[in-house]
Amino acid sequence: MRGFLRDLAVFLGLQALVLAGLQGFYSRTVLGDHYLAAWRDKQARLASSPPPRLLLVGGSSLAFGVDSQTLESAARRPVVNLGLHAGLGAEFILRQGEAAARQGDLVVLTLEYPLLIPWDRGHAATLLELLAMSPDAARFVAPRVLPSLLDEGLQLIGKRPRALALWAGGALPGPGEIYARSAFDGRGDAVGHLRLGSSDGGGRHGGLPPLPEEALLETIARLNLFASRVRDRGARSAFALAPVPDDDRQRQAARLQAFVTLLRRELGMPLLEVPLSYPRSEFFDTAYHLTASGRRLRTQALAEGLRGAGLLQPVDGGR
Amino acid sequence: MTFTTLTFLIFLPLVFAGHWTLRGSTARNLLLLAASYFFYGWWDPRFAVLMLGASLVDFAAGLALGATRRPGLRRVILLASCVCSLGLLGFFKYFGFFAENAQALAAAFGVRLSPVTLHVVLPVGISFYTFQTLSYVIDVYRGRLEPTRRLIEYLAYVSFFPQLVAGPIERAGHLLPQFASERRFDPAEAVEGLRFALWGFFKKLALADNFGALADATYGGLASASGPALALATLAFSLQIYCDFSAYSDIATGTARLFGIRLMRNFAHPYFSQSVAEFWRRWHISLSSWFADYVYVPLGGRRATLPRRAANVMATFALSGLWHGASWNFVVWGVLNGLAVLPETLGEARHKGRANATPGGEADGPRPATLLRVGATFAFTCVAWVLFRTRSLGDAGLVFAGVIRGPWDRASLAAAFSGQGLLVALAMGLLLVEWLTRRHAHPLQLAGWPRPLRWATYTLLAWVTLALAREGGGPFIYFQF
Repeated sequence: MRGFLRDLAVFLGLQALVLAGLQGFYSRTVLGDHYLAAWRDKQARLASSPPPRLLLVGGSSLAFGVDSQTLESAARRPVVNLGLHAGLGAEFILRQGEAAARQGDLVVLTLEYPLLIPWDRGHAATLLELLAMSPDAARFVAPRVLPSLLDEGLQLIGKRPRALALWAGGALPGPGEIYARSAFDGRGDAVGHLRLGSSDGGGRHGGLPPLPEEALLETIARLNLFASRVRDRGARSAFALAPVPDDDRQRQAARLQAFVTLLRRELGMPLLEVPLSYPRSEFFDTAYHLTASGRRLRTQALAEGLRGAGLLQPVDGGR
Repeated sequence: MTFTTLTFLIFLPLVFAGHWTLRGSTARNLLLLAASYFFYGWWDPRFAVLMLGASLVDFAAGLALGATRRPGLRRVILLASCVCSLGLLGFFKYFGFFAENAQALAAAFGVRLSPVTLHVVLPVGISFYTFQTLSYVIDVYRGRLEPTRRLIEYLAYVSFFPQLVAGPIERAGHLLPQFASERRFDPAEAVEGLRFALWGFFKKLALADNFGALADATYGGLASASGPALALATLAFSLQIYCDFSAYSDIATGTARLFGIRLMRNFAHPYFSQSVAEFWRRWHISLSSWFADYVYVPLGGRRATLPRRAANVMATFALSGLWHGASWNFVVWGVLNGLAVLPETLGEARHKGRANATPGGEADGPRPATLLRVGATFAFTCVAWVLFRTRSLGDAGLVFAGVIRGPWDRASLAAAFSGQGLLVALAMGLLLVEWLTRRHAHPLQLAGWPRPLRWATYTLLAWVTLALAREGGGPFIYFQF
């Protein structure tokens, strides 16, 4: 047995060396400007911005859908756009938002519609990639997600040799201009796409999944827990629905209206009165990502919604 | 839990360490039992409860059979056990199929039956462990096996995690004694187990999932696919299902050896078979032999008259088809295979002399006649796989019609093969390696090689496997059975 274990340890040690080499290569060629690496920058901005702040918590609909500078002027307080990727899952996003809130902060929460499914676990590969780049993000990972992360772990390791093989074949894509860390500005907004118009009309919108009312109530209960935790930290929160193309809204009008009614009745934080839908031409490449003009419209609407909810009074000591 | 996950690669060393740290077979079996239920419950804890219930019923049936010599009572016990096992299988796997067909049949006679819809989740691997418990009770009934009184050993036999979900379907007579004995760690066996598993991982992640992606892409749009594309996709599926299923058996065999347990061989280079009958002696051997022992032989086997023997073969294959899935496609697939094996099965005495231990013949390179027979058998198998892969007989008809329609011109062929260079290379490589190593259980038996070269080969294979693995690669195909 000893001989077997010794040989096995040596063999596994060799594999660890190979993995370390591959990881070094992957970090240099892929991770440096990876889209998810922007998470670190957003956390740094969060740490360096003193409260009271306006925190935007959600997925990429916020990253690609808000002009934080304009919002900052309206709110007269620093804005930190934490929106990054819906694949991180609702629980990760909510935990991150709860932990970020400080005395006097105003937290605006927007969850993409699939995240409203109470048993949503996010996209394991996305979460794993983030964890590989920023292990400290592990503190926001819900225990219920761990089994799926373990199940997908091999795929994450596989990306390393695959990148090397692509590089050897001259097929490793270079850093993108849109989905890249360098495509974010200092406030956490994705700006790489702003000079481009609507690329494919935004594609189809999955929209609000057909969920029974009990499931939606379960989700709202979690949102209320979020609001309560944010309140416990001395901050306030508000909820804004993610944008939908007009035609998709019409397709699921009844379902969305029922959900809005439920939110108005059950949600323990203000529901911002922002337009639910925009013309399809205002969407960039997916039905959550807005073009420059769509982003302008939504930012104005958010500012008005915050004002309408009485959340945008001048702040003492604000900028 | 699936083999091809990080979860399993963490789980396995923990169980391995625990197993060999403990002393005595009872403690080790208890650990294997707990590990197996954890492994199975990872999907859904309710599945584990169901398996426990099914196992206990047949354990009790075995004890009851051991306690009486009265033939009538023994028959009743056997019948009760079979009704429980097959009832369980029938409910979870075939309820929808039978309800749907009963409704259609009644409608044909002008009777309207209100549809009965039950949303029953099919527990993973239920067909496999049900057949194991069935064979145990039948063997005890036949007096071929003493009923075990050791519940832990029996439960460990039914649930042994390496082969629980997709076989090999083990017989109690083979596995139970291994659980009963004191297992000693054998480093050579453990290393051989790891080689088996590594080859299995390669076949599943690097080959099966990639072949499957091509097959899925074309079979997902049957109406618009060209004949060459459909033919290529069918070929890809033939390789996918072989690599997928034999990979599971390899990983199962390898994993079991880490615990000092030998599983039966389930695949023996089936695509080098020279007849469909030989194919079935080399493909999913544990299932073929199960049907032979528990269906074909009790129906009369080779002792029956020629027409009766033919009917028995057809019934056995039709049932085997139905075992694979609750759909007429599988039944027709089984019947088609039954028809193909009939000539050889009925004239078995004449063909006995041609049985050859080495698949594809002893010669290093295949003789033209051998090549022809292997090619014809493989072509038949591919045609049959169309029924296996499609969801309905109508879809299978679309595939056959599409392949016949073509167009078989250069442009369509080029379009079908466009961008498939890697897959073609992988298929050719697999064929070559399998041919060259067809006298071995797997190609990684490199005992004569110097250690640095062996380790370099293992390392390369492991990383190539990971590099070629598809993100979100599919589960093992046979999980659905």
